[in-house]
Amino acid sequence: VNIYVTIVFAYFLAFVLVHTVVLVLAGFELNRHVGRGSETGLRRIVRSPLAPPISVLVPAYNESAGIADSVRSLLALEYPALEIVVVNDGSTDGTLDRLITVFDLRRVERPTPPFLPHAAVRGVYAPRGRLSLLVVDKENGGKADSLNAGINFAAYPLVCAIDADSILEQDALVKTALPFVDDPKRTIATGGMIRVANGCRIERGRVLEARLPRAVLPMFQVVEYLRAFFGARTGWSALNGLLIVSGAFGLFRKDVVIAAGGYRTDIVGEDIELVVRLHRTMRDQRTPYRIVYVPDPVCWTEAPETARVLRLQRRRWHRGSLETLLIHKRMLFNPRYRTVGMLALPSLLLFDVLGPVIELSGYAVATTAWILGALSPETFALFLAVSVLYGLFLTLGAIALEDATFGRHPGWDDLGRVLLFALGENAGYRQLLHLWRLEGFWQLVRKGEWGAMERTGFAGADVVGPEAEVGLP
Amino acid sequence: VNVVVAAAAAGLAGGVALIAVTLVAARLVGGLHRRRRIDLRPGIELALGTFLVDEDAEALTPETRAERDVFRAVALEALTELRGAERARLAALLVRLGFADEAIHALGARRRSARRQAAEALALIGGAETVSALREGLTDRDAIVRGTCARGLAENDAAGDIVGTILRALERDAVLAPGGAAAVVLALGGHRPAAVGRLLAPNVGPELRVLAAAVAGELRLSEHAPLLRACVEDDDDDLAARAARGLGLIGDSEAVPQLLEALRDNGRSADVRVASAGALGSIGDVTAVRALEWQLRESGWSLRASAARGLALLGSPGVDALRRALDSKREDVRVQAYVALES
Repeated sequence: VNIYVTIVFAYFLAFVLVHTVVLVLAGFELNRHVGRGSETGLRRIVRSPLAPPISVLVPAYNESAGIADSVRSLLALEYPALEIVVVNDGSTDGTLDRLITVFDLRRVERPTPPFLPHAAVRGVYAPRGRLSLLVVDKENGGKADSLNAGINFAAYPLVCAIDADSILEQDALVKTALPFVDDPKRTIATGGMIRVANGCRIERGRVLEARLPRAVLPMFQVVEYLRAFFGARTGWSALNGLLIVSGAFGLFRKDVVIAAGGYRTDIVGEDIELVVRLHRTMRDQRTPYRIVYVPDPVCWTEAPETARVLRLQRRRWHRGSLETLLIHKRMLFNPRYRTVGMLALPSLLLFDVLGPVIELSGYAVATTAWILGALSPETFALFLAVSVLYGLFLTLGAIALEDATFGRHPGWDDLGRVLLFALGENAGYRQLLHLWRLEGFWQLVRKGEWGAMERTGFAGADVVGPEAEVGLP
Repeated sequence: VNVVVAAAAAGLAGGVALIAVTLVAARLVGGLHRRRRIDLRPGIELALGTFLVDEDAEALTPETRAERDVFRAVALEALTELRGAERARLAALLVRLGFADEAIHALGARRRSARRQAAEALALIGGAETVSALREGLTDRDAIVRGTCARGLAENDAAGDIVGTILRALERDAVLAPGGAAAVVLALGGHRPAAVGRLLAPNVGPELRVLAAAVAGELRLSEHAPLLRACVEDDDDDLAARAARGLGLIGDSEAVPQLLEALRDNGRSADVRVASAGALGSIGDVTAVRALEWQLRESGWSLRASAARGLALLGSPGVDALRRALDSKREDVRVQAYVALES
């Protein structure tokens, strides 16, 4: 028991050290970001002909219900040079027909560019009018495959990968493109804030009023997202150690993504894997680069409302982290990869991947030791208190940062609810997530699972990424 | 162990309580400020609007600090939108009410954010009163302050012959803060187009020349076409590609020989050759047909697509070349030609 307590204690100290440093860095980074808010020079560039043109890639699988509203809202985004590329991933619910009808599309001849491999293209459609829209109809191959096809057909040097059900705020692209204007040679990818759309008033693909969800599970996810985006991602971005640019909303330099080989189609965590591969490629080539998290452009996404969907999502995320670590294991603790190799990936391994194992085994060992009399109830309670309090400290820190900078939930009742759920997540929700993540781990290690994954499109997929959960050890 | 863990728990509880109290206090104070601003803003907007549309109207004189803060914010927002006489009137009002002096004073502040806001205000207010402060701002230790001051000077008609000073400041910041430098070059292109030519000269650093080539092309500054032609021949591929695109946008027919040479040069990057092919099509000179047709048949995917698009813009000789390509043995050449013809 003593040995175990020592290991857990050391692990907890490492966790506290890393996460506190990242939170403090996030504070400095947010302060720097807000300090630049008045700089209109860059904003003028982004609204001028010098703005780097962007192709927004919308992979769609059985999205006939919402695809027209999504595309309409994307076409209305504030950005001077923009095209929307919808990739219909072999939908069976009439998604393509809906697009053809609503946007008056006609079939056009387009050669398939050879840059990245993907499933066969069945046809390309463009509007008769002057809308900047292209629809690529292809065989089913999954989200990553669709994104690769979208990258091939994209006409512009920056590509923005989003989910078909993502809702971007009007100026989200302007804000996300700013780092590319500010430092065009080094910036290779940027990502923005993902917020939970459940509970919001949404009409025709636009969020008219931001509200907190009423349901319990999405409320817990609001707390998680706040902690992950304002605490973790902002801090890691300051260190140029950002491991994930969300699959729901990320902007990339097309040439760099193509040079790195595009999205992998044989894994579930294609978004995290691509970003880690970009880090690896740039470091291997010794090319200066940066991958930036921009905290204020907002993408709204619907969080799972049922335990079944949430369970699937978390299993998938955990598997994505593990796959990425396995693929890029050579980067771990390798000083050649600087922050990513020495800090970010080890942190992913120790706290994200092994976190559930350590915490759940901790409960088991502590309970057993308590029953056998090897651990006093006081010690057990104290450890539990420290664990809960530190989790609350991280969450409150992230909420305070959000409140001091953008304050999207100004009402006192909103604050009260967020704090209540931040406290409440320790009483079962977090443990449940850990269990589901362990299932993801089990899925991967099971014989035959690795390398033989069936892809049937990405219906219901909500790829935000494993870092969304910054759990406790 | 219990003592250590208890101490950690107590420390954490204190930290949590401290954050919670700070959060609540900041919300209370912020809420008060926000409510006061919300209350004041409509009145100030109305007063400023009336002042701008009615020349006989008396200007509102903000007295309390809160009123001045809201007045400054509303007026500076309006300045970004206004042009001509209304803009000049509002800027003069801000000078008369002491906002320019306030900003000049704040430009010497220790806090970086205060200096940035002051530089932004001075750049927007403009006029003779702000010139010397903006010039001083060019030596600030913060790149954003320097960039904002340079932009303010570039747009300030009262600044006189300031281009040399701005260029010296830009030389360093084109490397350190390329985005800010791009904003300054864009402002120069809009207000002092001749200055962009000075940035295209061979003795200027490559980063600035690339920015200047982009601005000259996008703003169609045809007087700089000769300098852009020289840039196409430069060894720097970024510069050559930008200049080629710019010449295409301007439609400079005298650039055809340089563009043809860049197109045929296998030692050049694909970006330069693709930009040259596109520019040749945009210029519309039929002497480019043979070179583009050859690229359509023999080169890689991106260059072939660009050559096909270029040929489609060259009238009947280009269309004939595309029709000939329909008989190619290679399917991708045939498809590219077909797509270009269809467009």
